[in-house]
Amino acid sequence: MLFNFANILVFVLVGGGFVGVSLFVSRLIQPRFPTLEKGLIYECGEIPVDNAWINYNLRYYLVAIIFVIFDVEIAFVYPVATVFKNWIAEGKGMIAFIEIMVFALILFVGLIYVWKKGDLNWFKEVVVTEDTRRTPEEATAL
Amino acid sequence: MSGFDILFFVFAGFALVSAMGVVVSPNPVYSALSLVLTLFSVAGLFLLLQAEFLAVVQVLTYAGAILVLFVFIIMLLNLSDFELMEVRMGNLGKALLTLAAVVAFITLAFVVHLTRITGDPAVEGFGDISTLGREIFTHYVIPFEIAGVLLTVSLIGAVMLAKKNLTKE
Amino acid sequence: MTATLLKIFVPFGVIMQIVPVLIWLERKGAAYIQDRRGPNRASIAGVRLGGLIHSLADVVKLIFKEDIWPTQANRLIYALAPFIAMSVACVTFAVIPWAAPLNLSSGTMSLQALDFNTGILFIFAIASIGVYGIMMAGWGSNNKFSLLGGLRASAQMVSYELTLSLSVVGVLMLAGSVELGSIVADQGSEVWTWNLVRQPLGFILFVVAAFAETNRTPFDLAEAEAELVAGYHTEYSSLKFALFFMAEYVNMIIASALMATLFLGGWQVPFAGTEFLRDHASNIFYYGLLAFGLFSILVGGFLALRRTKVPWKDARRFEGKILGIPALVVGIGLIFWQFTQGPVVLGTLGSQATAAILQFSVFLGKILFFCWVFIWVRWTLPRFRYDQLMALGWKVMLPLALINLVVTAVAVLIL
Repeated sequence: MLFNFANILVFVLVGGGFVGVSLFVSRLIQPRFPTLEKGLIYECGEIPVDNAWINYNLRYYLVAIIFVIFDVEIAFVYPVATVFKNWIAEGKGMIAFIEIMVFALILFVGLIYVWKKGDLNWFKEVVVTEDTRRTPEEATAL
Repeated sequence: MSGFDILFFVFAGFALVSAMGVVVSPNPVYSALSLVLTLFSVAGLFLLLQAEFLAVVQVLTYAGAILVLFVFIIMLLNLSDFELMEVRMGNLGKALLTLAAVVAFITLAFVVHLTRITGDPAVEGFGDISTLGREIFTHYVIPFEIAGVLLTVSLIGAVMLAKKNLTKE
Repeated sequence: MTATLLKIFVPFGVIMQIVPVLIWLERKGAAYIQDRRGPNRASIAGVRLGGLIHSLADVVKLIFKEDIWPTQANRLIYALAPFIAMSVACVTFAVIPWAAPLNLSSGTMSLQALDFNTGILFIFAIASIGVYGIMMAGWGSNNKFSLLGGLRASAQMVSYELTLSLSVVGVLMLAGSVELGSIVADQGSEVWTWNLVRQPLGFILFVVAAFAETNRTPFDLAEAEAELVAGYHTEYSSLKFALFFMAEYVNMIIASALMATLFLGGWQVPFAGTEFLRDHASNIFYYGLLAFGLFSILVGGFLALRRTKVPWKDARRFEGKILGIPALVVGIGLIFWQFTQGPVVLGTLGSQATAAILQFSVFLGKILFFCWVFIWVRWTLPRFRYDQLMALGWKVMLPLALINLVVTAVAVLIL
C-alpha cells in the first residue's frame, strides 16, 4: 500500500515536474521586452474598460448547486453498483435490486423536481403581461 | 521514523499550512484555493489509513464539486477585498475574540491529548469500494436510503433559497 | 523499482509523443475535410513527413516566444492555471492498463503505473480537478472574454460530469469492479462480449459526455472564437498557451483511452485471447517481422521510385529518396536476416513480452481511432448554443443515464 502511495506521488511529481521544468527552461531562453501596450488586457484593440471582476449572472451558480447534490448521490451509487453482481451470485439479488431502484427513484424525483420548477432552463421564460407590452406606435416612438 | 510517519507528517503539515492559508489570505479566491489544497492533504491522510474510496470521494465531491461551487460563487460575486475583510470591531472586541480562540484551542488540544484511540490498525482492503458496498447493503441500508432522501430535500431547499435571491434581484 | 519507473515513464513518454502527432492529424484532417492541403512545408534536411515536422517547428516556436504577462492580471492565479491544467492531465492516465498482466517468477505484474483498486474513480476525481485550471485561467486573466469562457467551461464541465460518471455505472455493474484491469479482463477477447455491445446507450452517453468534458466541438463554447476571442486562454502566450493546448490533446487521449478501456475491450486483441497470443508468440514474432519487412520494402520502393513534383529547389525535392532508400534497405535487411535465421523460439518471458507489445499496439490503435473521431467530429459539426448545451446535458443525457442504470440493473438481475 505504501508502495502504491509512493507511485501516486511519483506520478504527481513527474506530471508537475515536466510542466515546471519546461516552463523554467522556456523562461530562460525566451526574450522579454515588456511594453505598456503588450501588457494591456485584450479587448479587441481598445483600452480595456474597468476590471473583469464584476458580478455575473447567478444561473451559473444554480447549475453548480444542483451539480453538487447529484455528484454526492452518484458517489453513493458506485460502491452499491460494484457489489451488485456478487450479491446476485449469493442469491440476494432482489434485495440489492430493490435498494438500487429506490435510490435511483429518489434521484429521479430530485431531477424531476428541478426540471418542473424550470431551474434546468438556461433562459428563464420572459412572461409578457399586458401592461409591459408596447404598442407598435410606442415601439417606433422609442 | 517509518515511511508511514514521514508521509503522515508531510500531509498533516500540508493540511495545517494550507488551512492557515484559508484563514489568513486577504483574497477570498486564495482562501478557497487553499481549502482545495487542505482537502487534498486530508485525502492523502485517508489514503494512508487504507481508506482508498474515502480518499477518492473526498477529492471527487469536496475538491471537485463543493469547492468548485465555492470558487464559482466567489468569482461570480467578486466582492472586493476590502468589502469582505473589513471587520468593524473595536480593540476590546478583537482582544476578547483572540482570547476565546486561544481558550478554544487549548481545550481542543487537551481533549485530543486525553483521547485514546483503540482498535486494530487498518488492514489492506479495509476502505475498499466493495467492502463499503457490502456494508451499505447489510448494516446501513436505511441510512443509505435516508441519505438519498436527505440529498433530495437539500436539493429542493437549495434551489428554493437560490431562487428567492434571484427573484429578489 | 526499475519496472515501476518504466511503467511510469513509458506511458508518459508515449502520450507526450502522441500529442504532436495528434496536432498534425488535426490540422491535416481539417485541411482535407475542407479540401486543401494543410501544413506541408517545414522540413528537416528535406524530410517533411507529410507535414509532421510542422508540429516540431510549432513546439520550438512556442518555447522561444516571448511570454507576455498582462499587467492587470492576478499574477499568481494567472501563472498557476496552465500548470494545473497540464499536470492534472498528465496524472490521469496512471491507472489505465496497457496490456495483460505478466506472469513473472515473482508473481503477476500488472502493466499499469498504478495498481489502484479505485481505478475509474481515481480518474474522475483527478479529472474533476481540471475544472480549476480553466476557472483560474478565466478569472486570473482579468479579461471579460476569459472570464466568460472560464465560467461557461466550468458550468458545462460540471453538468456533463454527472452523465460521464453515471454512464459508467452500467459497466461497473457488469464487471462487478471499478478497477480498470478487471473491467478489461471481464470483456474478454470476443468482440460481441465487449461493453460496446452490452452497453450501447452507455457508450453513446459516455462519448458525448467525454466530448463535453474535453471542451471539444460541438461543445467548445468555452473558446467559441466567434464570440469569445479564444475563451479562457485569450491572455496566454508562449509556453503557457502551449500548455493549455497540450492539455486539451492529452485530455483527448485520456478520454479516448477510457472509451477504449471501458467499452472496446482495452488492450484485448479481437478474437485472440492473451493465452492464444502467448502460445503463438514465436509465430507472431516471426511473421510480424516478415510483414514489417515486406511493408517497408513496399513503402520504401514506392517512395524512392515515385516522381515528385515540388516547387521548391532544395532538399525537399529528394524527400522520397531520403526516406525511401533507408526504408528499402531496412526491409531487405530484415527479410534477409529472417531467412538466414529461421523461426525464433521465444522463451516464456519473450512470448509474454511479444503478446504485451501486440496488445499495447492494438490499444494504441483504438486510442488513435477515437482521437480521430474527436477530430472528425470537430470539423464536421457546428457548435451548440449554450442553452441547447445545458438542455442536452440536464434534460436528455442525465435522464438517459439514469434509465441506462435501471435497465442494466434489471438485465444483470435477470441474466
